[in-house]
Amino acid sequence: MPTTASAKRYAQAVFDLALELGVLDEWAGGLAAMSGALENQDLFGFLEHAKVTMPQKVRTIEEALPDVDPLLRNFLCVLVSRGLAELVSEVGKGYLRLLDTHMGREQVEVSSAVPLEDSEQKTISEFISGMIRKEVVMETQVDPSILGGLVIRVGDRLIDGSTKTRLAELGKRLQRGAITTDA
Amino acid sequence: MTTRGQDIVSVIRRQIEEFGSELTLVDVGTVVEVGDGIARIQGLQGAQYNEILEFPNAVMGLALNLEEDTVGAAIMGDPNAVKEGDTVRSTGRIIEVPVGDALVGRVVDPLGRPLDGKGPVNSTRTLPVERIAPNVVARQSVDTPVQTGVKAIDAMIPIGRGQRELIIGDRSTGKTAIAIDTIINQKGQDLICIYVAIGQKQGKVAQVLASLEENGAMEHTLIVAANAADPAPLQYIAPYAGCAMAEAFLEEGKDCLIVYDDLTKHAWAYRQLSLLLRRPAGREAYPGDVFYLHSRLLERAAKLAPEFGGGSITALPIIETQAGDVSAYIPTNVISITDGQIYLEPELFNSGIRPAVNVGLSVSRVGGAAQTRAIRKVAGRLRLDLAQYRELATFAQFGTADLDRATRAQLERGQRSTEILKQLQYQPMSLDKEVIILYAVNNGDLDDVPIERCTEFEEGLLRYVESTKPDIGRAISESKDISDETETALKTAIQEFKGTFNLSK
Repeated sequence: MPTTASAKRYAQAVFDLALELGVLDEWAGGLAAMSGALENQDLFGFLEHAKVTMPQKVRTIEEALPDVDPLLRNFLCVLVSRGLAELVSEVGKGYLRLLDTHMGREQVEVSSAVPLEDSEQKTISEFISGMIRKEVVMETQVDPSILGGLVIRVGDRLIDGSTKTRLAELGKRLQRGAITTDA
Repeated sequence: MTTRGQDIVSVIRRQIEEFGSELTLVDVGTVVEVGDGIARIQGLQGAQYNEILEFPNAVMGLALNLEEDTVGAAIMGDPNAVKEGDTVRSTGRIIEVPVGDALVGRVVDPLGRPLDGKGPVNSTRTLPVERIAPNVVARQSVDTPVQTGVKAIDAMIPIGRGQRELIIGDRSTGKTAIAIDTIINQKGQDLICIYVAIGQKQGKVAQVLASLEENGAMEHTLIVAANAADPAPLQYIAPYAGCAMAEAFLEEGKDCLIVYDDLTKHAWAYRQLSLLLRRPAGREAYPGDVFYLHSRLLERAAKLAPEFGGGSITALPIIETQAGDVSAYIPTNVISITDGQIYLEPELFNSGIRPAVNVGLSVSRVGGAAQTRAIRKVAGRLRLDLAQYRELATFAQFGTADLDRATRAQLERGQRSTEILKQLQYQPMSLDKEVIILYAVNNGDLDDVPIERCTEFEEGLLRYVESTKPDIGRAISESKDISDETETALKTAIQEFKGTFNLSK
């Protein structure tokens, strides 16, 4: 996946720059505004168009995103000049990931069969942050197909305590004939 | 399964109650691309090379390409069951197979799952499929023969335990037949045989199994089969899995024989995998490490020194050539890796010389040291004689009328030697019988037997010696040598038999 790889490099560069200037949070907002603006197909098409000259594109970017830090606008100009405007949202995500790591935060996705109450959410979030020793940004989902229990996803790691998986495991074990060897 | 119904119920109950209380943290990833049996997975930061991955619906995968953000995995199961967005879990297990005595007599797939419908394989031990070959210190030079039971091979291309002898030839020239005969000949002896079928037709594997069973050879044999219909990753790991099973016996100090049938198809499977994993292609579109693919496999064949248990793994890889082209990529690779080759030719096969061994092109680089003294005594000059005979035969095909007597005698002898080296399939011969008949040829006892009656003479002589002079055979097979007394006895026995044989003419 070469596009994600290059998005990662751009994100790192933007992040380093923001860190140096001490504008981490502002730029996070700026990047979000950029990806939002580029969802407009007209603007995106204009910026990617081969016959539009670069100065015209730069002017359009300035007009479309007046509130964004000029340095960050330059970043978008760099991408556009290379015909890589589609990377913006990917870079934005990468930036947020780097920001989380930097702040010692971790995105956590919790799925449960029924909606969780606030107190339950708090217990879970404390449990997870105790385990990974990081601040937890929790996102909850309701997924009735897991039947019961919780599925917690922290980055690339998964704690699967769902009833569905346990039943599947049990089924597998029974099929494997573990009974005869145990008995 | 002698447990009573009530016991089973209580065991299941206990298992259900105790089950799954432990929670574990597993590495996961998401399938971003799937096709041609290969899945590209985002995430799985902690995946290891050759780790088993778990897709939904109990489909297994093998992590083969570890990249910065993604993992390229081969799917070892139904590739249609995996779709984009599926969650993939790592298992932390490097690919491994069950090993041990429980496998002997069974037919399993490369992951050790039974294919013969004889119930689960009750093995308690597993070994990783990829292992490093024994090092120099642990090894010893080849000193014990593998008795193949095929006269032409035992006499001229001897194979030693721990040797790697390639069987090479075009399609249907009897490559598998030689391997199967060798396995059958180990019946009642100490060699455990493993037959690895790679990319073969299911029917052919069934046929091999049937002929082994018919000849009572499945008691010391196990078959690892990754058939033509199985996914390429399974075919790719099959020989390594078979070798791991052999290594378990090696570690116990036992002797093993492993047949890889065939490495051409193995290279094809690996080529498919590599191309789909987008690894750069080299000559004939094989990846750059196709030499290492086979060299690391065949290096695992070894004869261990006594202080390391003294076991051995003898490898008989098979290569199928296209129209006799031994200089193609894979054949040259494997020829250079092995300690010799048995070259089978369709011309010989079609002219009725079976096994169709081309004596001139076949060699055994180390097996000579392992040949028994008895065979060495009777077959020492056979190879040279046959080479000279072939040279003369091409020269003499325009008529033998004006040749001198010595040349004609050599031609006659050569024709009879060739005739005696013919052998039917599934009829491997014991050492003493091989020695007796080769002694007779070498001694010129067949020179006055008409060529078309040589086979008849051979059968008669062996039956005669076996029934009237059993001591000779016993002495040869026990001492693995021909003492002076045995030789005299053998000489008289042959003369006696010739008396009766010529009479019945």
